[in-house]
Amino acid sequence: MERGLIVGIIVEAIITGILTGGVYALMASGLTLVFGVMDIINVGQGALVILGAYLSFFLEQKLHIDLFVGLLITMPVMFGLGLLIEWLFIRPIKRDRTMLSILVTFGVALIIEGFLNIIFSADNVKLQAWYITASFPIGGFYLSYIYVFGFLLAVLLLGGLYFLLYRTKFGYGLRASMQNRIAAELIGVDVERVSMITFGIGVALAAAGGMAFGATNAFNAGSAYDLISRLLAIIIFGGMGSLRGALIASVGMLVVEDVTSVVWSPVWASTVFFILLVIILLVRPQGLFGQVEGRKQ
Amino acid sequence: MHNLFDVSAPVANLLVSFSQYILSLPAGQRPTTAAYATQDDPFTQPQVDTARKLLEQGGVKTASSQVYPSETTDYTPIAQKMIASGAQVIVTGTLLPDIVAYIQAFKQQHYNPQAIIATAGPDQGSQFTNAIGGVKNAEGVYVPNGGWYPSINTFQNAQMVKDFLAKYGGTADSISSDVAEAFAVGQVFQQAATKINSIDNAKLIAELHSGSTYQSVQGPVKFNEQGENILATGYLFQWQKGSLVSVYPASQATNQPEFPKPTWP
Repeated sequence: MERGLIVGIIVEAIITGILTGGVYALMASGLTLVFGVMDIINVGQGALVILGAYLSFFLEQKLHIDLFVGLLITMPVMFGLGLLIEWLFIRPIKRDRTMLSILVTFGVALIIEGFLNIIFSADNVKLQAWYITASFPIGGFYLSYIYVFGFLLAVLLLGGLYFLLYRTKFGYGLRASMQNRIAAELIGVDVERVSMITFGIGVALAAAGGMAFGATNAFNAGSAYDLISRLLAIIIFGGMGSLRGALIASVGMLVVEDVTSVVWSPVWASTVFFILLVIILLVRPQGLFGQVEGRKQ
Repeated sequence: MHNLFDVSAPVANLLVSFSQYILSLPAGQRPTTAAYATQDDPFTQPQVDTARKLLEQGGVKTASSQVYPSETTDYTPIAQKMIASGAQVIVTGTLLPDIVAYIQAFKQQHYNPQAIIATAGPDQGSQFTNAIGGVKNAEGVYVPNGGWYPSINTFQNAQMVKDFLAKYGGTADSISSDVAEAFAVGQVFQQAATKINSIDNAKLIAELHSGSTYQSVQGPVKFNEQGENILATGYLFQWQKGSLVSVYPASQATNQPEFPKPTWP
């Protein structure tokens, strides 16, 4: 392949890696936020993302509601579902929260998967809209509108989340809970309420991530398995509990994988990323932006 | 493995008909370059390897060749590399999600190869056409076939199609080939069990290895020592005007192949 052509596809891989990374950040942000506040590893996040994708699919197919407009419905619905899951399954865990949460949320994922299979069957589906296959020329290649819109959605929602965390009273309580649950309770923060709302936010973000995922990938209920492994790698890389880490790790992972894929081989794409992850964890066991002190409670 | 039997055609040979068709084109029309991408999967990769070998032997140069893990979820860079190669023929070893992603990427990038074939995905009826945004986007896409299509005149096929539509609705073209593959396994099992009047595993294995011929919706079935169906024939199918039709070999074809593939709508 010509040198100019190689440079071209590397640039293209970097751009699409950044844009796709934004969407993965959206999916991973809920996971990292929930861990930060609640010490919960929600391995059901992949299933919740797929559930979000199916809700968008339902609105698009049955009610002909645009995918982005549909988020005005799916995100509040998923927020409510998140509150319910927290109340039903997470809150009762009183000891070994981190370890037991893995089992409990895996159970939640299986329940969701089972319901999705019953309702939608195991057939693959994909979201449809004009902007999914439409594209515009930029520097010698075409950029798809869905990747741009998906990235802008991620920026908007993560920006909103940042505002919520750092500019509101609820955010102060949430961050206090992230730093030290017991101390937060002692100064009057209603940690149970904060936890429940945080879990709801995490699940609502999964709805947005699911819509973006379903617009770029064919999916069925089983698609959650490949997804959750990537999301867990992202939050470990970025530092568990760190929103900024989730964003940078998502973009980093996708760019590294995409560039490796086009320059070398797709077989090595994940391997190169995981080698990088191992090296970073050897140097910084808490990940890029993880807080060591925050976890000592 | 002595006790594993495959009623469908041996996977490694499924793209032979496509390769033969491409090489049968007149010299002035025949593509000169091909790009390959396949999952690292025992079902897809042997097919693509065979196609590549045959096409290279026939003078079709390899512009790009990629193997990717089956757990891949981001297919964009793989598609980018195929597009950048500018290949005239795209041969992909896929299941449904990856060929859907490739078609989406090709359309986004306004990349129009002369022929696209996927080992699986386009044979999934409406699952495929709905996922790529309608049958108009499927026009000209090829898929190999292990020996079944809705109107094929084989043992009990008409009844199976009728029963399936009565139970699940839809049209004959929307029936996934997975249905026929699973049904054919049941037919062979039923015939073997009836013949020996037993469902004992050891006796069934011996019967299936005995060289007997069975009838199925996919055509006749006879197993060799490896459990491969030596009577299975692979056909080349193509989406044309909303239907998946048999186009090669000519003796089994209901339609002429559409070549080159029309540009994306």
